[in-house]
Amino acid sequence: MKRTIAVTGLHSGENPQPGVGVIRSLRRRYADLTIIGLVYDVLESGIYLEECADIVYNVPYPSAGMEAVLSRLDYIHTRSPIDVLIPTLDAEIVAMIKLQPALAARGTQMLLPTLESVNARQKSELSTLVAQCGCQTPRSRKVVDVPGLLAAADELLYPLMIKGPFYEAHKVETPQGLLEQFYALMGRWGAPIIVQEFIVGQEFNIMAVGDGAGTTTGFCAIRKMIVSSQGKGYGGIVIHDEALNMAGRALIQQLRWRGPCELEFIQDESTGNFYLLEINPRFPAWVDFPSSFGHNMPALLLEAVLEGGMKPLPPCEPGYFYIRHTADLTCRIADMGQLTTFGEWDCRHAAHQIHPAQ
Amino acid sequence: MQNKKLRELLMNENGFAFDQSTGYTYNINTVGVEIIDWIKTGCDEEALVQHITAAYDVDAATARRDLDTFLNALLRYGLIPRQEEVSA
Repeated sequence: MKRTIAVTGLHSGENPQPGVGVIRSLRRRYADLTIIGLVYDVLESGIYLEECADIVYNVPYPSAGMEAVLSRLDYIHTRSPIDVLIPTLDAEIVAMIKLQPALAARGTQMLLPTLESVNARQKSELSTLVAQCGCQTPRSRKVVDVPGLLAAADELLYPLMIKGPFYEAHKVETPQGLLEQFYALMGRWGAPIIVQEFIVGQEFNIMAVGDGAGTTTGFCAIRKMIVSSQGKGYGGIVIHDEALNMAGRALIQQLRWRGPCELEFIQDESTGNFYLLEINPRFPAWVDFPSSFGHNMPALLLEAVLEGGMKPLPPCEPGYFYIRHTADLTCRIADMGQLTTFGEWDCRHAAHQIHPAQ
Repeated sequence: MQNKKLRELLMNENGFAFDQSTGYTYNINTVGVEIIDWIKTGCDEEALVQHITAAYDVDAATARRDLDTFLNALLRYGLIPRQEEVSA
């Protein structure tokens, strides 16, 4: 398939982004794609990874405004016309939904949910959403001030989870800890802050692709085997649990989700009930894991965009597991200089494959 | 005694077992593997004690005590249902 695909989120450090996994999955199926890496920082590790992006371009953060992003994409389009763009970061999704018509007019396609779907899965709206599909979510309260915060804590009792509207979640056990995290989260993300009852149990994630009409076409459920200090899954095993599968599919159907997503659940160890924690509107960092045994969701997305229609993938076989492994990349300062100075770097002609002296 | 989870438990000849619904794995000794196989054929506790005493050099009281310990472990991991779940 001689197409040009742009992917964002190439950093694979302590809190890995999904871009490298998306590219790896696409290359598993289509060796002759041209991959464009869109990066916000010259230290995104995937830039320097072999067999990752062919060409890398700097792009402005979505917070710089639509015009700035579109203007940069227009320039990139003159150099490397993009057939399909796969945004992989939470903060990009709403901006990309808004840019969808403009990019489509330029020949760049995306597979994204509607703005309504994205809004309906916001942390502050989860109670309403789960009620519509017979699922559960931990009891939570939206708060905007300290009296509301303390009232919520009195009602839900310690320990509690306190969460920002978009990112970050912390367990707190005392009023002092609660206030400390409240001010920190307000400072970083603004209101509303979510206070949530703390559920003790194992964490489960589902990666899925929806067709926008209610059908789930790609689906992989895992139990987190290793959880990092930041709560990230550094290891996971494919499982098949009917209650969890039904909950995941019901949510995607209710949202009429179009494109990739990740659903995060926790199973109450005393009751066995699953509770929805959040829905992320993009592929997770472990996106390439199911592709490695044939359940290739980035390829499914690409085929849906380019060929139309989406044939559901066969179920994932339980028992495969992944363990995240980090490695150091050796890079040349000249390559970083190229990207820093010109905002673009054609990695194919670079000598970033460095081999030790024999 | 058996339930869906036990039926779906994947177990190799060495006693390494994988619960597909939770992703948990277990190491089960030879006697445990045999007991699970007998449970899967529909044996109740009394029949299990008879199987154990016939297959191993052990009296019924010891077999019953060890069987209780093993069944409690299966119960704890949710691999067999509690009595109230069976009668419900």
